[in-house]
Amino acid sequence: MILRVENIRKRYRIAGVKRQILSGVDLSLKSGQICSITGMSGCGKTTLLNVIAGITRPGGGSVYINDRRMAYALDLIAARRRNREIGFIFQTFRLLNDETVLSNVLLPARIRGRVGRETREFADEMLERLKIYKFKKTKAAILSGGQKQRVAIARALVNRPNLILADEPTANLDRKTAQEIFDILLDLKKAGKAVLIVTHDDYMHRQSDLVYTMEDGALKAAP
Amino acid sequence: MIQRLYLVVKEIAGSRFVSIIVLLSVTMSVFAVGLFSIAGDSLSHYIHNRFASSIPPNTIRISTRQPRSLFLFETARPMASAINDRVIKNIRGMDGVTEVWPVSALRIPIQARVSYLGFNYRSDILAFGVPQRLVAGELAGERYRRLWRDPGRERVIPVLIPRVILRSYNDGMAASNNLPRISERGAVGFGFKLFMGRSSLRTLDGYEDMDTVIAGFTDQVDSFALILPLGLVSEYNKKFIDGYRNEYQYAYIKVNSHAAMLRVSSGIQSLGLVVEAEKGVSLQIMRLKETITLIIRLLQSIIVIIAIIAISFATMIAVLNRIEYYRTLRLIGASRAFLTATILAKYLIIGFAGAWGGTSLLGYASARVIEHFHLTGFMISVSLPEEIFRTLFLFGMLIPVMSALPALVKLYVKGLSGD
Repeated sequence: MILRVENIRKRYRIAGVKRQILSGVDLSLKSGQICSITGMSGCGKTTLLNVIAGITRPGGGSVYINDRRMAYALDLIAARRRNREIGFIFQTFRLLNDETVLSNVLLPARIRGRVGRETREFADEMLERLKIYKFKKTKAAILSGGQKQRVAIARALVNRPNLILADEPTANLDRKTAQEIFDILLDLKKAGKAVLIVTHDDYMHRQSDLVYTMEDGALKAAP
Repeated sequence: MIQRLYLVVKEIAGSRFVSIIVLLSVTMSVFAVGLFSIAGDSLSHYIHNRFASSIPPNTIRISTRQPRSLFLFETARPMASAINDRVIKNIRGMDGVTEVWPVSALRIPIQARVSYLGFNYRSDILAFGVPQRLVAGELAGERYRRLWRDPGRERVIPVLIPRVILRSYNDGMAASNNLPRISERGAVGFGFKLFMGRSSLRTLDGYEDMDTVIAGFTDQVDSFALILPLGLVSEYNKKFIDGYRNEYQYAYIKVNSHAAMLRVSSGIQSLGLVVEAEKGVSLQIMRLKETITLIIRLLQSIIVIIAIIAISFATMIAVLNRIEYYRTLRLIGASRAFLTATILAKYLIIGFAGAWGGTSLLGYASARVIEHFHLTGFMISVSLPEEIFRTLFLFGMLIPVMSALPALVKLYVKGLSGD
């Protein structure tokens, strides 16, 4: 099992009022599976991804990645696991616009402290496969939305993680580009990655192995 | 490691404008603090050379405490505060003391007989013994200096006459009794007799009459007593007084600085002795130096505070401007410790460069100032003392690091917290 989420709870204080965002979320994801989650804005989808990635500490429950429990108390270890075992893709791409495409892709490897020839060759291979190799030395700022998201996907894969978390990766893209990005994510599934995606896109729901709707802080299987 | 250094370099380059502002702030504050240090030191040296050295610290005279008395008579001697060899040794060991000269009273009856051109005059007198080093400059020639060290050499006792006695005789006794006035020059070498152990009131067994010669006049020991060699006084006291142990009436103490004068005075007072010294000048010089040091420290503190506030604002702006960058790094696997180390390393490097720039500028400016600034006795140091250099460098390096701490707190409390 790549990902196992057990009874995750999380409460926030908003404007002085405590609000239960996650109230006992359970989820399991195997290698080669895609799970898509939908739900209303503010229902806790992004919070769930942050909890899984070890950025946000849950109020209760456990997260297991590659069958090892996430240790939230030790930020250094949680960050290391996020760097090596999880690839994160964001709606707003989160690229360094002043940096080149290659530099953006290599960033997680730099944090890891390992940018050897093998990593560079792997990065080139990713860029080739994602059809953005020719922009390798181009500043990220001048790329289109779809190209930026491809760079973000390459960056998420550079440390060869098993689990990919994607937070509305196509929300800022047109229909055609969104379709291309989904196809890339489906390719990742074929490559044996586990992909957890937050999206409202019906096409992606149809392609997913598991589809959930988040309601009242819990995941409910979509019809 | 190289990859992490690469990220630090990117971090410096990532907010170039703020980095330059911080660099310039550190450079200028190190320069200003260093300039005040040099100016303060130079001013202290100036005061030392112009005032402190020109007005040497007064010699301290110490004595025993006033004895208790009843009407005309003393009822008890102040034994608790006696000046003996142990006390003298103790004082010699004090920091800043260069010389200690004890003065001992001759405690036996003594009478002088002057015979000159058929005129005979006898008088009971008082006498003090002093070491040769205290009065060496007042002994009129090498013969008398040798004689002071070893009176048995010619079987003649050298004596010094306090000038206050000579003046009193000439202006008082000579004028009122139609006696001739005595000149200092003519009196040196004049011989008379001293009866050791005999006075008009009492005669001790085995008293001696000794040839005596006037070896000079003194201002060092200001009293109405003849001044004799200390060794001789000690010898006669031991000869005529059973169980006599060296005990001194006064001691003169020479110190090497005004600061030492104040320090030694307090030390001696704590021994239960009375200090008779003019501490006013020393106190004023020390207060002047302390005031200048205080003003310099105050100005330096103001610069440091202004620098810290300015750099804190600059780092706060820089960190908050790059908050999305830090969030991205965190989302893709950077720990808080990694981000903290990167940010602090950035400001440490900027601080190092700023400190280097500031100290270099300081050296250059000092050299230029010396070329155009001339005040007699005022010396400006070109080379920074190593201690000040180290302090300035450390201060320059740490100011931006310390100033970045509020920005880091803000970053973690508001910016990067996952909650």
